[in-house]
Amino acid sequence: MDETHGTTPAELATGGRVSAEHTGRSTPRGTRAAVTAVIVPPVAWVAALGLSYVVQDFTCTAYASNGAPAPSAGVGAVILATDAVLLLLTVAAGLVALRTVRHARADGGRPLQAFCGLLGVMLAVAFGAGIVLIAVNPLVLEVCP
Amino acid sequence: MSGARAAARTAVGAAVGALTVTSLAACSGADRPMSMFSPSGADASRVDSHWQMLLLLGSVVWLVVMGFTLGAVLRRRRAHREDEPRGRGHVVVAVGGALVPALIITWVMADSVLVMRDTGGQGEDAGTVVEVAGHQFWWEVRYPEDGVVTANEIHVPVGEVVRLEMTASDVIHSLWVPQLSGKVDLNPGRTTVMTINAQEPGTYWGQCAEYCGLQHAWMRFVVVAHEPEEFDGWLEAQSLPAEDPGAGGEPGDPADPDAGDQDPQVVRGREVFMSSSCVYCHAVAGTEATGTMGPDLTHFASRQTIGAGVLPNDRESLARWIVDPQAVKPGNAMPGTDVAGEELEAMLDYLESLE
Amino acid sequence: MTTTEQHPPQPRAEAQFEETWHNPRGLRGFFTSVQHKSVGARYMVTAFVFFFVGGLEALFLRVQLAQPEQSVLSPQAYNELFTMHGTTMMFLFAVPFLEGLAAYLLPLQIGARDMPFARYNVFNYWCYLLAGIILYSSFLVDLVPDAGWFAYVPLSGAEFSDKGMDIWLFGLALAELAAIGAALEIIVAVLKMRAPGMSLDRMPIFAWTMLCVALLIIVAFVPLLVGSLLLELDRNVGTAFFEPARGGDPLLWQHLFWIFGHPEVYVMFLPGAAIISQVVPVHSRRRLVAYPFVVAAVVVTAIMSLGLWVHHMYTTGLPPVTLSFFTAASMSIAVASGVQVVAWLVTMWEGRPRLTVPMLFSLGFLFTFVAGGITGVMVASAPFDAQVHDSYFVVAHFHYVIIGGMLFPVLAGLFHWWPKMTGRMPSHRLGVISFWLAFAGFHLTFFPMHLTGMWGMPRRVFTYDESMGIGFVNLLSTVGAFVFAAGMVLAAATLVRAARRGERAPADPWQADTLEWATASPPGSSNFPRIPVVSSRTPLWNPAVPADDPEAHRMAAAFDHAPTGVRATPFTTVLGARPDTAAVQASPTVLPLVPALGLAVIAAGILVEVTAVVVVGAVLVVGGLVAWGVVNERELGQAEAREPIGGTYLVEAPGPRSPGWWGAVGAGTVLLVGATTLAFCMLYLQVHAPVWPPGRTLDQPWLTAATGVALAAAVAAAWWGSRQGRHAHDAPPVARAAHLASAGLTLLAGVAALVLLGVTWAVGDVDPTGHAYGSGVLTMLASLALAVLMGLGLTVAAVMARLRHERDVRVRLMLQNSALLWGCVVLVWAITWVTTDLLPAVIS
Repeated sequence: MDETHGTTPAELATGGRVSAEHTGRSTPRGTRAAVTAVIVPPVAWVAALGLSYVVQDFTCTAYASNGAPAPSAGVGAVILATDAVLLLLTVAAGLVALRTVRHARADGGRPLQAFCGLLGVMLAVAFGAGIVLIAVNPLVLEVCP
Repeated sequence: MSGARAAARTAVGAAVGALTVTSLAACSGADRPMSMFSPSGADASRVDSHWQMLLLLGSVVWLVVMGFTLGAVLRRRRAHREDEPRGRGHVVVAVGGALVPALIITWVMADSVLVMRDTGGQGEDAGTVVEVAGHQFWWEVRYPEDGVVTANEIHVPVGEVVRLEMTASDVIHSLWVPQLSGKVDLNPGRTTVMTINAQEPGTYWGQCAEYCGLQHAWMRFVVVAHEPEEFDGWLEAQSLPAEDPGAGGEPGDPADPDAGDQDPQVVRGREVFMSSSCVYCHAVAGTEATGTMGPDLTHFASRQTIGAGVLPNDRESLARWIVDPQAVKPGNAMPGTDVAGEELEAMLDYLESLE
Repeated sequence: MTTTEQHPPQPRAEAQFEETWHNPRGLRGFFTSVQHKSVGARYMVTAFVFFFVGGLEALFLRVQLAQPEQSVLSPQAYNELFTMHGTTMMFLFAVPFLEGLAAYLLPLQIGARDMPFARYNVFNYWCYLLAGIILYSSFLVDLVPDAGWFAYVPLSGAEFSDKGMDIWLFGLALAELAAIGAALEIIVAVLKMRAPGMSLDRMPIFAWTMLCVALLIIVAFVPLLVGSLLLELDRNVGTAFFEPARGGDPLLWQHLFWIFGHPEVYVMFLPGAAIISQVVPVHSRRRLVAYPFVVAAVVVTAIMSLGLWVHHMYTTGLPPVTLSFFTAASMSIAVASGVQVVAWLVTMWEGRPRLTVPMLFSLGFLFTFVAGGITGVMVASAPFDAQVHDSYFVVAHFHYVIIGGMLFPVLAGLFHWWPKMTGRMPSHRLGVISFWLAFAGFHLTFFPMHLTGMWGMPRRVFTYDESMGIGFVNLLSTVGAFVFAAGMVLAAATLVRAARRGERAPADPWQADTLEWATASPPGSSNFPRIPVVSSRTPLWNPAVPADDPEAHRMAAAFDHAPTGVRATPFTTVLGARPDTAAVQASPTVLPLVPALGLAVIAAGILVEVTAVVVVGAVLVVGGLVAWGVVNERELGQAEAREPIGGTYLVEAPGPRSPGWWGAVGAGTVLLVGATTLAFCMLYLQVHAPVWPPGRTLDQPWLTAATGVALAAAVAAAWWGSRQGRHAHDAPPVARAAHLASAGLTLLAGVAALVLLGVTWAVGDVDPTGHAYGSGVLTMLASLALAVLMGLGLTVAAVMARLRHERDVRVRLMLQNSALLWGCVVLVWAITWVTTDLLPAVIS
C-alpha cells in the first residue's frame, strides 16, 4: 500500500519500472489486465444502477401507461439476475487485480503495477458492496406498486 | 501551540453551543405551528423517531471525528522526517474510514428502507379521498364522493387514513404539512398520491414547498383534523349549496318561510356580487356564479384565511383583499375591483353570510 | 541523436527560449495571451468578481428575511436575486474558479509548460466570460431570470417566464460549453503531459482528482447542455418535450437537470478535498497517508456521484423502490468521503501540524464539511428527505457542503499557493482574522438554518408568517451573513494587499513536496526551463532518490531550454509517464476570442430576434474557426515546429502519441454523450406517454440506410487516406494525390449524408410541434447533422494541412483524427435510428 511510493534501490537493480511499460507502443499483458480490472468495477456499478432503474421504472411505467398490471415478480427477478451478473464481473475483476498485486510484488516490486492492482482491489470491494446495496431493494420493497 | 489551544477551545465551545441550541430548540418546538419536532401524523411521527436516531448517530460520529482532529493538532510528538514510514496509517484508514462508515451506513440504509415501507402509503382502501389541485398560488380541494369543493383547507377525520390525489393546473407545487407528513409534489399532467393520518384533532399549517412563482411564499393552507362525527357534520354542511337569500320570491312570500328572513344588506350584496366581474372566476353553488378560475366561495365564510394564508378571514381583511388584492399579494390572479362604499359593505355582508 | 546532456545551453539559445515563451503584456496581453497561467489567473479573478456579486445578492436576501413579513425587497426582486445568487455561485463562481485553479496549477504540478490546447483553453475562458456578461446583461434590460437556478418546467416555460429565461439558458449553455472544453484540457494534460517519471502512482492527488472531475464534467454537463437546448426549443420553436398534453413530461427536465446537478456538487467538492490533500500534508510535514485509498475514494466518489440524481426527486411521487436504488447510491458515497477524512486525520496525527492560515482553513473545512456530510446522509434517507426537502434544512446542508467543502479549501489553497502565484507572502495575522470571521460568520449564518427548516420554513420564499416563530433564527442568520461577508472581504483584501506589497516569497516557502514549488515564485512563462524528472511521490522531499529511468533524464536534457523557436513540452505515456513525444504548444493570438464572440452574438441575435445579428454571429464563428485553423497549420508548417526535439522526440506522431488524437476522441465522446442523452429523453418520454408516436414513425428505411452507408464511406475514405504516405519526419511528400482524393471522397460522403438527412426530414413529414415524438425526431436528426458538420470541419482542416505542409505525417494524422470523429458520427447515426424507428416499433 503505502510502501509503493518512491523507488527503492532494489527496483533500480532489477530494472524496476523500466520493463513495466514501453514507450506507449507495447503494454505488457499484466499491466493491461490490471488496467482492465480498474475499469470494470465502476462500469459494472453504473450499469447495475442504470439498468436496475431503467428496467424497474420504465417497465412498470410502460405497463401502467397501457393500463395493464405489471409483472412485479418478473421485473424483480430480471433486476436481481442483472445485478448478480454484474456483481460476478466485479468480483472477477477484483480477483484479477489481487493477482496483479501478488505478481507485481513477487516480481521485485513493480510499484506502478502493484498500485494499479491495489486500486482495482479497492474499487472492486467498494463497487461490489454498492451493487449489493442496490440489488437488495427489490427483495424488500414491492417492485411495481 | 497557544494558537492551537485557542482554536481547540473555540471548536469545543462551538460544538457544545450547537448541540445545546439544538436540544433547546427541539424542546421548544411545540408552539411553532409547522415544527417537525411536534409531529401529530402517523408518517411524521415515524420519521421523527428516524430523525432522532440519525441525530444521535450523526452527533456521535461528528464528535468522534472532531475529537481526533483536536488530538491530532494538540498532541506532542517528536521530530521526524516527512516521508519516513511510520505506524500503520493505512490500516486505520481502511478500518476507520471505510469499514466503520460502511457499517453505520448499512444500518442507516436499513432503517431508512423500513421507514420507507411504513410511510408514504398510497391509501388504496382509505375511507376518505380528497382531490387537491395546485394553482398559482392557492389550493383547490375537492371531496368527489360528497360533491364538496373548498380551497386552502383540507378537513380530515382524526385517526383515519385520508388519501390525497393531487395534480396541478399550471406549474409544479408541493404539498407539505410538517406535523402530519412529508411532502409530495403536484405535477401538471399527472396524478400523485399521498396519505394523511392525523392522530389528534386540531389545525395544522401547511405550505407549498416547491418554488412556483412570484407568490410562492404565500401559498399556505391548513389541515383541520376533526373527530369523525364532527367531520361527517362538516362534510354534510359543506355539501349543501349556499343559502339563497333571494330565492323563492319576495320577502313575506308564505310559500317560502325563509325568504325575507335574510338581512336586506345580504340580498343587496348578493346582487352586487352577481352583477360584478367576480362571477367569471368564482363559483357559489346554487347561483349563477360558476367561474372556476378562482376558489369556490360557496362556504367562504367558514374558512380561516383569505388569499391562501396571507390574511385572516375577517371583515377588514376581506375589504382590503376585494378592493386591491394586488397590493396584498402582488401577482395573484385576482384583479382589483372598483366596488366601494355601500356596495362594498353589502358585498362583505353577503360573503360573510356564506357559511 | 543529438542531446544537450553534456553541453549546457548557450546563453543565446536561452534568450531565444525565453523570447519564444514571452507573453505580451498590458491590454494586448489580456486579449492575446494563451499561456495557462494567464488564462488560469483570469478565470480565478473573474470567478471571484462573480463570487462577490453573488455574495452581495445573498446579503440582500438575508436582509429581506431578517424579520417576518418585511418588504425590503419586492417578491419579484427577491425571486430574481435568489435565482441569480444560485446561478452565479454555481455556474459563474464555483466551477469556473476550480477550472481556473486547475488551468493554473496542473501544468506546474505535473511538470508541464502549458495546457495541451492552449488556444482552446483561452477560447473556453472567453465563452465563460461572455456567459457571465450575457447573464448579467439581464439586469440592464430588466429581464432578470426568476425561475430559480434549477429552472423547473413549466415555471421556466414560455407560458410562465419572460425572456429572462432565454437569457439564462444562453448564458448557461455558453458556461457549460466552457466547462466541457476545460474538462477536455484537463484530461489530456493529466494523462499525457506529466513530467517523465511521474507514473500514475506518483501523481499528486490534485491531478488525480481533476482527472476524475473532468471525466465527470464530460458525462454530466452534456446532459444539461442538451436539456437547455430542449427547453429553448420548447420555448421558442414550440416543440413539446416538457408539455404533457403533447406527449412530453415536465419531470424529464428534472431528470436532465439533476443528472447534471448532483455530479456538479462533486465537481465542486472533489477539487476542494484535493486541495486539502495537498495542503494538509505540507502543513503537517507528513506525506499523505494511505495514498492508494484516497485515490480509490476519489474514483468511487466521482463514479457514484453519477447515480445520485434521483435523490433530488424524492418528493416527485416516484415509486419507493426507485427511490431506494438511489438511496443506496447516496449512502454508499458517504463511505468514500469517510476514507478521505480519516486519511487527512491520520496524516495530521502522524505529522506535526503548523497552524498556518491554509491549515486553519483546512481545519475549518473538516469541522464544517463533516457536519455537512452527516446531514447529507440524513437527507439521503428518502422518508426523512420527504420532510426536509426544499426546506431551510437543505439550504443549511448544502451550504455546509459547498462552503465547507469547496470555499474553505479554496481559501486554504489561495493562501497556500499565493506565494507561488504572486511571489509574495500574504499576511499571517490578517489571514487568521479573516479565517475566524469567515468561520464564525458561516456557522452563525447556516447552523440556525437547520432549525429554521425543521420549524417549517420552505426554501425560496420571500417572506414568512410571523406566527411560524422563526423570526429569531432568521435574524441570527442575517447577522451571521454579514460577519461572514466581512471575513470574505478581509480575506480578499489580505490577498490583494499581499500581491502588491507583501513580503517576497522564496520558491518554496512552506517546504512543500510537489513540483510547482521547484520553480520560481512566480514561475516564469515556460514554468520549467528544465523539465523535472520525477522519481517519487513527493519529489521535493526526496530529491536524492535517483530516477529509475535513464530515458527520463535524456528527455529532460533534450528539453533543457529547448526547443528555442517554438513552444513545446514533453508528451509522455499514460501509465508510466515514460518519455514518448513532444507536444507543440500555441503562441499568443487573439483568434480564439472571435468564435467565442460569435457565439455570444448569435445568442444576442436570437434574444433580440434580429436575423442579421445571428448571421453576423455565425460568420464570426465560422470565420474565426477557419482563421484559427489556418494560423495553426501555418505555424506547425514552420521548420522548427516539425523537427524532433533533441533529435528524438517527434512533434507529430500517429495515434495517441499526439494531442490532436485526444482532441478528436474528446469531441467524439462529447457527441456520443449528447446523442445518448437525447436517446434517454426519447425513451423516457416514450414509456411515459400514453401514445408514442401519435401517428406513424419516421419510417424511411431506405433513406436512413443510405445515410448510414454515406457515413460509413466517409470513415473508410478518411481511414484509407490516413494510411497513405510516410510517418518519417524527413520524408518527401509522396501521397499528396491520395490524401486529396481521400479528403475529397470524405467530404463528398459527408455532404451526401447531410443532403440525405434533409430529404429524410422532408419526406418523413413528422410534425415537430404536434407531439414530443416529432420534436424528438427533429432534434435527433438535427444533432446528427451537427455531428456531420463537425466531421466535415475536421476534414476541411485536413485539406488545409495538405495544402500547407510539405510532408505527409501531419496530413496522415489529420485524416486519422477525422476518421475517428466520423466513426463517432456513425455511432450517433445508429443511436438516432434506434430511437426514432427501432424502439417505437419494438415497444409498441
